[in-house]
Amino acid sequence: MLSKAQKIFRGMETPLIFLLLISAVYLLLRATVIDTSDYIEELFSGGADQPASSSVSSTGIVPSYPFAIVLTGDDGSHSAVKYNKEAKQRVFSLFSATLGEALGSAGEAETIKESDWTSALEGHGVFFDYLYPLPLEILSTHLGAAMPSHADGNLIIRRLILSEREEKLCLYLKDEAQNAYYRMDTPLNFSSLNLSQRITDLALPEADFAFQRKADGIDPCFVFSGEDISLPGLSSSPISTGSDGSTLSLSTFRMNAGAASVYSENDGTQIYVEGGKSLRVDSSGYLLFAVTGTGGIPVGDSETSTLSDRVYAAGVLVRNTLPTGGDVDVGLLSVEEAESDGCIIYFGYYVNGIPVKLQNTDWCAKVRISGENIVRAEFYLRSYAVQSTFLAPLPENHAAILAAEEGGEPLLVYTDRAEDVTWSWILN
Amino acid sequence: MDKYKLKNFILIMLVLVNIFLLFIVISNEIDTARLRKNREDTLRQILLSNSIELNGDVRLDSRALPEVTLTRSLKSEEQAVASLIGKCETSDLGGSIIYYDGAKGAARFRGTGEFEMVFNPDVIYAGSSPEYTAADAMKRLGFHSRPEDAEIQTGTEDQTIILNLTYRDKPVFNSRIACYFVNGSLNIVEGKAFFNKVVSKGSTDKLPDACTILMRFLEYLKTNQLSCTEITAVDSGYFAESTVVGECVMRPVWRISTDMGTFFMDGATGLSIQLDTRE
Repeated sequence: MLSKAQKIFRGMETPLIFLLLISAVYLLLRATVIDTSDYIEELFSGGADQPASSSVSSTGIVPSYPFAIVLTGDDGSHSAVKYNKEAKQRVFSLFSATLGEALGSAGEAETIKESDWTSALEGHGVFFDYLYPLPLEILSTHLGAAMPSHADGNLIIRRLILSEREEKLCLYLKDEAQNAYYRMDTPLNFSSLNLSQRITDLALPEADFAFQRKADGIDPCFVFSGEDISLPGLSSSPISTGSDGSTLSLSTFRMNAGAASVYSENDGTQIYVEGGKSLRVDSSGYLLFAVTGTGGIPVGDSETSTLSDRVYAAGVLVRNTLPTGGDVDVGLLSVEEAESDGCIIYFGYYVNGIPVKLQNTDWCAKVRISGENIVRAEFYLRSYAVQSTFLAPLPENHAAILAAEEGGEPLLVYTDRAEDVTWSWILN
Repeated sequence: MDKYKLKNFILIMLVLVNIFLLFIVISNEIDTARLRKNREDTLRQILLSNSIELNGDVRLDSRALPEVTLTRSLKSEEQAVASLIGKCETSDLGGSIIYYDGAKGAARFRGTGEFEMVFNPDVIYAGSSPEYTAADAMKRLGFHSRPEDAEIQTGTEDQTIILNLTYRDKPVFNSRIACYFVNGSLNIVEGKAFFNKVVSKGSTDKLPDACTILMRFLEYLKTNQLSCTEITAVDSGYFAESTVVGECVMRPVWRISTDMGTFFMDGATGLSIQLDTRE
């Protein structure tokens, strides 16, 4: 016969074994130098939630920040950031969400005169220059805000101003396609920019616009930033995908490595074919994806995609194909209409925020969308490495004098000449 | 074998395994503490050799914080607002600006984390400790704070409570909420907060700890020809940054308080940063 104590002990044996097992697992994790607190915290919080929605910005593509930002104080003095990537990111981070809110909450666009635009440039506010004209809808989506239904998201915008009107924040836009100027009111208070305080805190170099210098022949909105331009040296090389395509993920192009047929040409070019899809990769880093017949890479799940959906899908393809990160970014250059229901989207390399011109093209990726599918894409796979040396480009003032002879806007770029990379001032 | 004997055997084995693992864990903890103390002593000596005293109350065992990306949940925001101003009608003003109109007041929340709320009189009474009343109201909105650290400004008929928000018990250095009490009841609340829904959380594996941050701080002082004689506090916290509407990045930051002012160091890079601590 068992005593009462023995019966109780036997009844507790199983739960005790279970508890000791859990304790042993916990101690084992602790003993192997794994910080268990994060795991336990996530266990009870259910881990990180999935994003509620995907914004274009999450691709890491698209113009993540403008090429130039000018802050104008209430005394009319300008300060700007243009060539310093880190400073530009920091300045933009202070105003980008408000710009998104302003675009998303903007009232109807009112046509204004060029003189009103010029006055806004000179007045208290923030000027953004995205360098390449893009549909307004893309800029707005990139900043996390959908354009209101009454606003014309098809305006082709490169330059915007957040300005003040009767103590409210208003937007001034220039439509590059029609050379027209617009003003849009917002429900936001201008004071939400906290501009004067931020101008003082940021202490950016003094700047001015070309029209203020009466610089004939130069784009009047060109910004003389007053920055010391010092570009890090750069080396470049084509990215070889290897004879077995090892650095290339066929699944990016919705192709199955097991099912695709592979052909090699004498010059080392690899061709992958699966059904109507083909992928051609040559040793210079040029990559061509093409679809014959119907199909391709679907833009999204919905039956009718918006322009933002298309740019997002193209951005994802580009991000998964081109090497980015660190000093190298890929930015959206332009969106071109094609056929009745298609478009071509161009992307370019940026290193430290400076555009890179390739030997034969301005773009590094060109994605063609027809209907609801990506049907053709071309890429130049280049690898860039920043060197410890610095390049000293011609100062802006000198570049402007040279540019004035031909008229236009001087633009500082890296020129990738295949054998080396140097700086150039080109006319934009 | 008798099943009870088998159970006893397993039990004894598990107890032995636990004792063994516990011994390893305790040894590891002792080693870690010893190493940390050595590092702290060395750091204090280095700082002293540069004529900087590390206040004895400064604790350097704070862990590096991960970067967290948060997104806005309109549903939970509406529920939280309704808990304060009653069931409300919402109006989307565009640009992710939402206006809430309830029986007890109205509110406007922006996609940048900034918000304003106006309460009808006598909805929320100040009570004997308005800072706790304000903190409780903010808690119902999903924002945590330390009422004991609140700034209190008292007028003849009004009182302003400034609350500094916290995220996971860590201070968010640029999130401050002003709560205005008029005639004993909460009238207006406004400030900059952040969102609650976690999208992603970074790793803390390679982030600098407090000792490394202080070494970087010393480098920063030397490089910029600055000086201080005493470090009074070293706190890890966050800086809430909204660069895209409806999304907020909680950036890890270290605040170093000295006799010559307060400095902020980036929790990821360990470099000095200038924070936009606008109110």
